[in-house]
Amino acid sequence: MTRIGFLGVGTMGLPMATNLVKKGFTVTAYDLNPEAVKAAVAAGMTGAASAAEAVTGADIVVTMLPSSPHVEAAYGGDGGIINAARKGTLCVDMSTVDPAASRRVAAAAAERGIRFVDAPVSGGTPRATDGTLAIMVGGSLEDFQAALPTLQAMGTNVIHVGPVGSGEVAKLCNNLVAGVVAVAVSEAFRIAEGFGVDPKVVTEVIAKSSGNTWVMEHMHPVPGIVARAASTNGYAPGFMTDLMCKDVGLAVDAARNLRIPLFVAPAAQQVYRLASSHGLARKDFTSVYTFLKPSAGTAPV
Amino acid sequence: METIGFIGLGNMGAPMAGRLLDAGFTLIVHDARAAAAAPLLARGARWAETPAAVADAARTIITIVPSSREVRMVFEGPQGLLSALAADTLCIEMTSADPSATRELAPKVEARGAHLIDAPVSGGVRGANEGTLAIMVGGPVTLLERARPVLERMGKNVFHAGPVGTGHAIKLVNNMCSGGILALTIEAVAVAAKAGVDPARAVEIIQASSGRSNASDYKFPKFILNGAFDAGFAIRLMLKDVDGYARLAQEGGVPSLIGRAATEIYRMAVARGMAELDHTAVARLIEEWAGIELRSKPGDPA
Repeated sequence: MTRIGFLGVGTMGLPMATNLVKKGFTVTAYDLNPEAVKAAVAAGMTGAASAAEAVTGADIVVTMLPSSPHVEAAYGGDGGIINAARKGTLCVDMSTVDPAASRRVAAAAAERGIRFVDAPVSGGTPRATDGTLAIMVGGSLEDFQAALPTLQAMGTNVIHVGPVGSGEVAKLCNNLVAGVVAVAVSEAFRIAEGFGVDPKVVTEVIAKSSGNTWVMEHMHPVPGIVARAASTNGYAPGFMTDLMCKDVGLAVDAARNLRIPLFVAPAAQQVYRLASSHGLARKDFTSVYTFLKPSAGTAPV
Repeated sequence: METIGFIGLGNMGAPMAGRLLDAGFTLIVHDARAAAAAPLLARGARWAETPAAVADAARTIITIVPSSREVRMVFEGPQGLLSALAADTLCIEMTSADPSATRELAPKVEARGAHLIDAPVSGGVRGANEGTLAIMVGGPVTLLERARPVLERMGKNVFHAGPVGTGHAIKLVNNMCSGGILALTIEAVAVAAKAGVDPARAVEIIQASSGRSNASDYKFPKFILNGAFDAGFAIRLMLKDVDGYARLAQEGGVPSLIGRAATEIYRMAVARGMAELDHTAVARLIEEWAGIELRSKPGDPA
């Protein structure tokens, strides 16, 4: 059976790697946090003491790390994946990072005959646990097909987007839209409530009108309207405010490098930063709704 | 000497009226809160129970109240000025008011054979006390010249802005500059502090560099670094003015990205219960966001 070296078994990585174990893959796990490695061992994986140890002898290396610097550090350097992996190993980076970083890592990997695809995910912890993530893949068709059985053990919608970096591009475009929309939906429902209009009815109206959006249908920021939404469960993540802030920030940074003027995404990014400063950093990002509280009725207009 | 009617004896109106008394004008005064008049009455001003009673006694009437809503009460409410204005009375409307409300009011005053010019001020309580206000006048030049001897007792720089309403328009524009640059400078000093520059040192460097402004030169040292927050202009009033600016920008079809951002910061301060605090206390909100305090320490540059 395919041997997987899995680096980064945190909130997302652990349930993803656990699904690989359930589907019969042999998984060796490593994480900078020793507690995370213990949890991986408890879930049926072999624990490794270093990144190099985890990838030695692996057919496929999967990485699920917090940010671009983490990914570049994991792949580069003497003890990094590119040095430690066997020639011909396929590396699948499932982290959400700057597409330019994916391309840099892919180029460095290619120099040593290591194959690389970017394959970021959408769906959050619940769908990581269910094995129903959406996975968007950037890389050659051949590498995509080689990675497919592994990816299908973790997700249901696995889409080949284009060459290396394209998966990350699709991911950051998606999260820009979701991030901006969550703020917009929150603002709209604060206005509806301000006029005393029932948010359930407004939801029905929007759902059948031009403003309809996935975020409202599945992640409604107003508690009590969508049963499975984080809002209905005290804004337990889901997808944390700080992570959304980071992802919208990736889009904003990308636009700067592409010389594209941007107005709405930077505003949304600042709203998430503010929400984070107000104690919502580790709540679900839809808690931005709670941050948009109106003034007391007695305050002057 | 001429009798001046003076309606609105708040933070700004009281010292402005005081300067007219100093100059020897006879004053007849009114305020919604009678107690506000006491110090001026002690110095010889006469009390009027209603705006109409002011109109009965004076041919030049100054109004300076919190907003257009109060202007409307004073002119059009029960016992308002419009019910009693004598022909050729000159109304000098010095509130930071909404220009469109002023343009609607002017013909109603003209219909009584009287005149209205708008003449809002800038310079704060200090400028009002010292008679150094900037005064921006909207209305015909002939009326400005008629008002000038009175205005020059209260302000050093009396400008003609244009027709009726333009004084109020440029006042909103100025207050957006003031409030926007203040918010930006507070944010920037917080960024400097996080980057390892002592806040007082950061302000001192900005004062001597291309980023200098009234915020760095005056408001930071006098009201923020020392934690005094007592410039005499409440956050709710700043919000009113930057909202007024936003309406002007929309009427004029001018995109207002920066203005909008500043406006929402003041609105959030109000939403957080800070409406009555001084506008310089918006620093507290930005400090909370940044997780840092921008106070001087002993030995910092003055």
